[in-house]
Amino acid sequence: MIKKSFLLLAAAAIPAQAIAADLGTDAGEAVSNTFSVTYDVNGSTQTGVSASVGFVVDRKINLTVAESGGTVTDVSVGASDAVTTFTVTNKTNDTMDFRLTAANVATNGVDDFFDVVSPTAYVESGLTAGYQAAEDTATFIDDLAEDDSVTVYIVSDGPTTGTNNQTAKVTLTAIASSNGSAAANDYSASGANNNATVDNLFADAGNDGEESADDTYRLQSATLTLTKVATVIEDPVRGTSNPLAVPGAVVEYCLRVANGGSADATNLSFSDNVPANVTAVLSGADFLFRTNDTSCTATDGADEDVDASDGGDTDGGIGSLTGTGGTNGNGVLSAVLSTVPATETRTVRFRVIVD
Amino acid sequence: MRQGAAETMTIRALFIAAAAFALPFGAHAAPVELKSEIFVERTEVSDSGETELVLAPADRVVPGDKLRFVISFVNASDEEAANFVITNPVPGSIAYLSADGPVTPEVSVDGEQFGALGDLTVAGADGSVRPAETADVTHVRWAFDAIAPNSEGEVRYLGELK
Repeated sequence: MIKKSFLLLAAAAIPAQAIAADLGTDAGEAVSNTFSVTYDVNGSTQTGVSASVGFVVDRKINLTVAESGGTVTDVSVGASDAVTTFTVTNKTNDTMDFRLTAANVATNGVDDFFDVVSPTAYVESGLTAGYQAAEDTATFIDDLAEDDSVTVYIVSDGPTTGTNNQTAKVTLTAIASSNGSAAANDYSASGANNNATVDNLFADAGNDGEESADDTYRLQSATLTLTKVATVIEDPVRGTSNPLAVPGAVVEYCLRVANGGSADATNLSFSDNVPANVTAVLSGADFLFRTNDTSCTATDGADEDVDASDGGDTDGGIGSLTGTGGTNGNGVLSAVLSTVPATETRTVRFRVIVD
Repeated sequence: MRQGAAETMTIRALFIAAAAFALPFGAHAAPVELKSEIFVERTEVSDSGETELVLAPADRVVPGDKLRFVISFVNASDEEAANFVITNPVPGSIAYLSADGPVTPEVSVDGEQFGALGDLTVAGADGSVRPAETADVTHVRWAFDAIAPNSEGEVRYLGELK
């Protein structure tokens, strides 16, 4: 008895399957099962090949969102474009879009004390590493291949007020979407499943096609305290030995700016009126407009600075002293310090003679 | 639809819900009719906390799902179908796991030589030969001596969507 075989035909009916390396058969691939049969009836061979029974591989939506680097982003009051970094990974058996949202975490007094302004998610373009405002302008993830990751930034402005070292959290959420440009395109779990169409199965941690992660901002501000100290340098009777503030005595005023915060204070300007009953020393050996001291003690301060501009100096301070005008008619000290670094102190001194 | 894996009665009841193909043979009256179906096996935890095997129609299938391919046959004639052999190539995107049926299934790793998996070998690119594994299986076959008149049965194999 000779049997015909339909094995070859059956095998030919099976299309080549596209298998992704890690995430399985691609969504939309048709899988069909076909078998062949042979048997004899009364010595007569019967053969056949089944009509194929199959299904279309569905979309197993999975993604992860993770904060990158584990670092806290410093932000100052009124700052622009403070950047936090995340990584979004497509674990779906399909190329995917992801819609992005960036939001402040509700202030809780535990790890979130303020809100940043206008947190916005941008996708790394790949042109230049790190956030580039001119390049990284995409606000949703477009066509992320299976098992690929992309860097996403939340870019925020600093708050209008705040307390140094307080933290604020922001949340990046990525939502599986057929076109990430609009919420209307978010994938939903298909209601009526169908073996002939691509249905959606949420396989992410939340089983909802969206995942999120937090990152932290920390407010860094300058905290300035201004102290004014008057020291009698010499008097006409005792000279520099235990001098008293008698008429004719030289008195040095020292204005000390201490930055107790964690951010540099820059372009700090201030003024002080020369008191009544004294005359400002505007020139000569006793003129001591000094800007780079760190305290008001007599031995402190290296740079003696007589400048109305900062030309030739490296202390970063400029200023002027007049002998007339001001509240008391005796003159005004005006000073600008280009930088008072965090945790450091700068002083400005000037001298007067008691009338 | 929840049931134990071996409860054939329930499985047959599921056939009504699943999309099924009846298979008439040729233009002339065929004594044996065949039907092929695919189900998804899922392990779910019931409300009472028990782990149950659930069979569902292959409407939502994603990589990693276990699929049960069922071929049922009915010999509605008064004639015996002798030397009845069902040969099923395993689709390329399916990883073969196991098979069962009224007769011991045979598998093949090349579509030509069939036998028990333990009797088969696979030749590597370097010419070395190793024992075949389930992942190597490309075909599964059930060979009956005969299907009696007015009888029916079914064979099954289990695979995983790659």
